[in-house]
Amino acid sequence: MRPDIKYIFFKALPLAAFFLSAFLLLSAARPVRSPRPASAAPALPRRIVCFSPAAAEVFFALSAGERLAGVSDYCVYPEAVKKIPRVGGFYNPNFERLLALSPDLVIVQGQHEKVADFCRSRKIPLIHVQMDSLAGIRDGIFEIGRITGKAAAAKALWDGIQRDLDAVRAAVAGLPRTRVFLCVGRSPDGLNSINTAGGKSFVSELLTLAGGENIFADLTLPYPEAGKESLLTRAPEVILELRPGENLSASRRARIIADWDEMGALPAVRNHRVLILTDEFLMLPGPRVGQAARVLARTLHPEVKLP
Amino acid sequence: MNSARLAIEAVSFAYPHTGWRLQPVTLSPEPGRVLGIIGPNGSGKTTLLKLAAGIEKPASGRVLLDGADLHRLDSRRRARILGYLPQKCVTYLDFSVEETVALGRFAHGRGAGFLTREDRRVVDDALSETDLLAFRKRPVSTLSGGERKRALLASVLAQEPSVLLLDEPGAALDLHHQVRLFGLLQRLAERGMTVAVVTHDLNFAAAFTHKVAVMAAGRLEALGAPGDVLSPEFVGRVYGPLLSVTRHPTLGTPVILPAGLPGGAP
Amino acid sequence: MSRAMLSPRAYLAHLSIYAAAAAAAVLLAPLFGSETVSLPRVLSGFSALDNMDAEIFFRFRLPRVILAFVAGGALSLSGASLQVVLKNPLAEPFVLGIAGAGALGAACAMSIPGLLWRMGPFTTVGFFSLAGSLAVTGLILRLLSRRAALSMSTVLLAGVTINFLCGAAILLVRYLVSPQVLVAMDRWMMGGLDVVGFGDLLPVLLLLLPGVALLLLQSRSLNQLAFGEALAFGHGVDVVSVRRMVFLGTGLAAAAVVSVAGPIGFVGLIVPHVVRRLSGVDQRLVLPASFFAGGAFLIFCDLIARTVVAPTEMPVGIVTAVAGGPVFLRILFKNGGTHD
Repeated sequence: MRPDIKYIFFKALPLAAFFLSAFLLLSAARPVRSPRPASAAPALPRRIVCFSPAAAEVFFALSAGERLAGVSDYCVYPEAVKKIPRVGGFYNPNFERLLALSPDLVIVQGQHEKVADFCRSRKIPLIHVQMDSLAGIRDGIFEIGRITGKAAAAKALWDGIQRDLDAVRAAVAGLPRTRVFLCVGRSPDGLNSINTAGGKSFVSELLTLAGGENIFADLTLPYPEAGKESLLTRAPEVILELRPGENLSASRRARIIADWDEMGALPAVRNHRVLILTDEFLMLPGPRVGQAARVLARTLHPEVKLP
Repeated sequence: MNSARLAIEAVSFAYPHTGWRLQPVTLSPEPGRVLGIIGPNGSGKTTLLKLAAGIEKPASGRVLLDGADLHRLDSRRRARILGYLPQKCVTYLDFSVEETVALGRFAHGRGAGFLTREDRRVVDDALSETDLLAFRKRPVSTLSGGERKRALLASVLAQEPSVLLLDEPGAALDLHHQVRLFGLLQRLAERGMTVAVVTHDLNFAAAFTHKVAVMAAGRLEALGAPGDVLSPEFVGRVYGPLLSVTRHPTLGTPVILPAGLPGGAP
Repeated sequence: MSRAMLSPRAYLAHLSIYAAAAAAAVLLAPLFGSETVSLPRVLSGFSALDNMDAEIFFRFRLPRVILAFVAGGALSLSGASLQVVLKNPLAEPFVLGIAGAGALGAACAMSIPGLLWRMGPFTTVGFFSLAGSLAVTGLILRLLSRRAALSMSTVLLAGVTINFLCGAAILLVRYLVSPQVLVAMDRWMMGGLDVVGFGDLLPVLLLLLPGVALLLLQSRSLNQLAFGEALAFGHGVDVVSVRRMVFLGTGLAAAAVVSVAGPIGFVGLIVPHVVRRLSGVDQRLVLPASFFAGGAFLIFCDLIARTVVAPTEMPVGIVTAVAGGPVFLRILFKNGGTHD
């Protein structure tokens, strides 16, 4: 019987496709299989994949950048981190690439179930860092110091940060506290759904240290939506709009400030004290936290002298 | 009541997907007469009625209502002359029986459409004609199939049409109410109304209509008085074998009965 | 079981109850908020800058309450009309793809660089959302005009498919944008009535009110669809025109709401059902009553959204479902729920 066109389409092609894909899967799986399925972290891991931008910064601050085999899409500082293979972001971790890098340790920030599950199933050692406060930064730095065998350097790094922070504290001591509204996000088209930072957040902690007072410090959620009525009655003297990492043209900057004209009753708007900060380290609890505190202090109190 | 004329002139139709065609039909139901439209399943009875009611547009030919093209008429104006009861009706909103009947006053009312005294009289008449006065407050969803059919018929009567087109109005009715229905149709015709009724019940058509139009395979096969048209040979040709035609003992009209089962089994 | 026919008196009595409830909501809701304002101080001066109470009341609460009213009303009214035209109790204002296309428009405006700017009272987010919704409405109307015999289930399926297509396109946009924009997009999808001043309301009302009027004018004809299109046609209803008007009215009203408040769900689905349970099925009553009831309901939900977790706020779309869902289930099962 002559093989007719229907046979080719409905029988032969799917079969061929099945075998081809099975072959590809098998051959592709072999080279990326992890050589050691050990679960415990090796004494000094050398192929680390880091999903936390702050933690990745710590590696470089400790001159241990060469230990990083992969970093997340969000890691952009320092310059050297950009040469390291990318393993995706929060929503789209690239597990194939992750496997191919055969890491001996994975570091994630806070909850990251997708990656955690994956590491468990592949028996890849996993560490959670919790770098979302000054204390968390300290713990993260010491943890990474331990992992990389650079405990002394870690201690030196943290001492330096503390010196910076103390200098800022000292400079603003005795100055009147500026009442600040922190705007960490809003709908791109106006003053709808404005998110602020609660008292327990990292930015709020820094703001207090830098001589400001977060008008929504009483909120327990880290980044809640601020009601506009409450914003009006709390009457901030300064509005700090944080847009970390954004590259704003002068006209865009002017438009962002002009958006606030709708709330002309606010002292901050009336007195033209709506300020935009774009430094990406402002919302990044890492080794540059001292720098961030300095930027905030200078913004709120232009008159102070900082070393 | 004026005696409006419905004229179907060389109307043809084709269903685009099945290829089924209605061959050109010319037919003018007479005022004051009940016309029965009969024929086997799929012969085109319902399609013919839909064309006559304006639900479907003819592929060729035209339907005239009082001399005007049906599809050029304003729909309210059409509804004041021509009433149409479809074969199948869903019930989506659960009105009461009298509200349902009052829906028939749509073409007569204006504004918010609250009923005038005249409207109420017409609705009451329609309810009593269809033997539904006792049910007037009942939600339609609580009625039986036959009662619901009568309520919808009443809503068409409430239009006070002079041409009445009914598609299987007796389908879900018990025998008593079927007889009453045809009695009502006769009375309406006596008042000058033009009545055309599609029915699959040959005996009711034979006994209680003035004329029958017999459809077969998309063609108007015959038109005439039931006693003349429904000969045993004709019924056998149009409907197929296994039927026998006799005479009604008192009415003298043709009666069609099953004559046996296929293969001659008892 | 019996039911009286709707007389003009009963009609007015019913409708005035709904209208009174709506009026009470409009008048009382601005008195409550996350902050306490004193009414004497509100009324003492209109110069907002030195009178914070008046500022809060007139520029922040009142416009928001009015927006909640017209948006809730328009969504309920659209839902009530569509449920009849599509003969589907699950129909709601967004079923024709209006929300999906609106969301896609908003997502594009938020994420494509250079597409985000302000033109007077409009922002491009609202504008693109509006454009998307109206394009879909136009598409459905075009389909209808080309094939008058189009079945309503086909229209329904087309709408659902449009929603899916837009959803997929949004996912693609989401995949490409930065996390900050992602947060803003997610927030937009939850719906919010966060407007400032009456300037934001005007462009919305210009589309919304004609849509509402168009729908209310169809109420008598919608009654006729109770037993299907064929009988309605026989009774003298121009069924094709009724469908067109309902789709156009719904399109205008829902597009306007989506463009300013995002896709607020649930209101347009449940309020008409509740009204029918309370006041029967006569659309001459159901449509305006749904408008009033929907408006009052959304005012109530927004009041919860802006007070319960004060000084922060909740997305109103969450409140409509959480507040309305259990109530709706109760009504559904209490009144039999056996036939429909």
